Amino acid sequence: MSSILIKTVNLSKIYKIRNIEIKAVDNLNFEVKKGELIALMGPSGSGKTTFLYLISGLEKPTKGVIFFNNQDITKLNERELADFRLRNIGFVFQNYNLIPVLTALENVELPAIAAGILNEEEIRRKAIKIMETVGLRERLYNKPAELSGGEQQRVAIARALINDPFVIIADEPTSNVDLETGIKLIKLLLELNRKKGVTIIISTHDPVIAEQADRIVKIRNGQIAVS
Amino acid sequence: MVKIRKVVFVSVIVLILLLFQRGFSLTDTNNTPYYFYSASENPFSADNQIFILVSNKSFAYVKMSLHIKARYPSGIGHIVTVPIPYPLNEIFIINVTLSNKMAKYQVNSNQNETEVEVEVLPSLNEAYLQITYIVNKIYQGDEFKFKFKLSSTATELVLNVLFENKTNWVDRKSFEVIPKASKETCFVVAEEAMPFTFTVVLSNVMPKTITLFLKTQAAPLKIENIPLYGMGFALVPCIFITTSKLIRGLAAKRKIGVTKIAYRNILRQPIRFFLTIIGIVIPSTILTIALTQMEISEQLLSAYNLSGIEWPLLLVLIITIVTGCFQVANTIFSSVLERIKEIGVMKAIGFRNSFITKMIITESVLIGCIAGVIGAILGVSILMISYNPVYGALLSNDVVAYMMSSIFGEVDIMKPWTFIENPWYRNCILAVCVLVIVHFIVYSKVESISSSIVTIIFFTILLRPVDPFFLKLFLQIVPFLVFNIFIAVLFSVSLSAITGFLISKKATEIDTAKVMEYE
Repeated sequence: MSSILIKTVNLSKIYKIRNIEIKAVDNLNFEVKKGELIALMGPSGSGKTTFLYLISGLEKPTKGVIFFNNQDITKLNERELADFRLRNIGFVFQNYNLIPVLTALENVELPAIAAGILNEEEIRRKAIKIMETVGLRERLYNKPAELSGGEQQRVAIARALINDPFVIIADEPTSNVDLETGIKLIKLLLELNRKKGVTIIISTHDPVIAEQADRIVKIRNGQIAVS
Repeated sequence: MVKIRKVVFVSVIVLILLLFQRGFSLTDTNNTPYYFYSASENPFSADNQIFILVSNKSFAYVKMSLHIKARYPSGIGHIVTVPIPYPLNEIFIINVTLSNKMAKYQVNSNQNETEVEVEVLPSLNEAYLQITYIVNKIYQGDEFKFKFKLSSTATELVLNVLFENKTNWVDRKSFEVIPKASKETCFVVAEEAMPFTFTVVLSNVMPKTITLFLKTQAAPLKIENIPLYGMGFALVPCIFITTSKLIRGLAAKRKIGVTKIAYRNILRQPIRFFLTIIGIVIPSTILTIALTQMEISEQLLSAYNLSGIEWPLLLVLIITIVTGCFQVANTIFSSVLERIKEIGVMKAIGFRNSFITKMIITESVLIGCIAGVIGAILGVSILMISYNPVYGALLSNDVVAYMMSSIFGEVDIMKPWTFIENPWYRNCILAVCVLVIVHFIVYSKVESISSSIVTIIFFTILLRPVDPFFLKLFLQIVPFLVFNIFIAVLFSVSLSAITGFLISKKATEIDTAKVMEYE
């Protein structure tokens, strides 16, 4: 099925802390279709973040297989995983995680430079265009510290978009901003989803935010509660 | 367009400066007094004497004894010329003797004067020269004036005796000799700085014999004739400004890459960066000085003169540099620890480990490079200021004082306008005026001119009339000076690169997922 972007089969992640096994993700079978906007909901400690890190290759699963575009990413080595993330996944973190020494524009350009596909001029042009899309045309040359929380998260979204990824993984993108800004951010993600067809996976525990998504997935104790 | 403007601007300034140098002759170069300096107490010593025996039969019997020291025979300055202010037909050279058989001499003469050229071979340590001649035709009349001036560029190397019979000489000291019944009169002029002239006035007496003993003390080195010291001084701010501009230019470059990120990371904690820089500047300064001194010793001193103190020094040096590198390691390590999350984010986005490694190595190399360059330049400057790289001899404290007075000029407080006579001041003022005017014409505004002023001062010092003898000596040591600077920079860069590499290995082991969890 080509319309399925991510597919996990019996995915488990078990942490061992002083001989106590903690099942962060427990036998999870899950599918993400192309162009979907999925909201992962669940209390903290339910395994949302671990699941997101697993499907993006930041962590290796204890058991199970992850297919990304029919490619088994659990078999990739560290370097291949880095390249895989760079090309296929855009990250938006809870607390923005922008590089503080670079300007907003440079932060957006950074992944493209790491990818090394486009030349300097093209990267700059593309970055400015994306900054326009997220509505930050005026704040190109400001450092992250000079931007508000919402603006920083927009820069992070722009950074996630620069390499035209298949999927944007947003780990609680709205939990550090107020509700209004959060809704605006979600609307922006929704717009990107509709216009560009980017698959977006958001984890949140705010039902108001989650309502905007195509599909809400509730996770509890590492397992899908309601689909 | 801006670049062309700048080039035109700078070249106009340099041209005008050159014009000033040519057009306004700064000092009467024909009359430039030579000074000498020696570490020994009395370089002229009793060995260097001039006997003038004036007989009442209208002729003078002159006997000169010179002790020529060629302590650092370097292939330069081993020709000593002894001018005699008479053409050959007016004098009669009785004998020229040289204590060392390896040395040679040659008598040259023209219409006005005769000179005895003594060639001291490089292997030679010292020689005694004795010239005796008779002057047939001395001045007739009541007054007999015999002026002479003793001089040398540096006693350790060359000792020149110059006879000067110009009338425009400033008489610093005049002696009136009225011979007594005793056979000889001795003058000690130790308290007076060289050069000096004295006049022997013979009046109302027709002595049988006058014997002049000349005994001198060393005069302190006058830096006026050694603009290189001033240059060393001026170099320091120039280098600082140029490097800072260079770095700023690097940072302003549009492309963001490893270098730019590394540079900005360094500047996050400017004070820490500054302290680290100092930690390497000191060893690389010492390295430059030590290497240059070693080289000078090897080149100029004969093998048996080496006492073998260089190796312990080098050992201490290496330890210092390694300590400096530990400091770099410490700085980089703590900055990596501070940014552990940021590095985690970079890895999450998809940066390869090689990029992180490169970034951290670049950071440490940048620190090493900046510190190495500053240290090497400082080393050269210190070498020029406190050492005499030309002779490998340590200068006394007086030198610094003289240097200061040379750079800033000796201004008579009672006659403040006389400072304009100081060529350095005059050049500076003219250059700055030209700079401001040209700047105003080109950019029609006066701003950001301070660095240009420093550059101009540098050029002014550089373009001062340079004593060709010193320039020649300086040019001889330039190659290995540059080489030593290169070595010092290379050393600090490579060591800091190694430490950077070791730390980056640690940084790449950062577990991204864990870092992100524990915020």
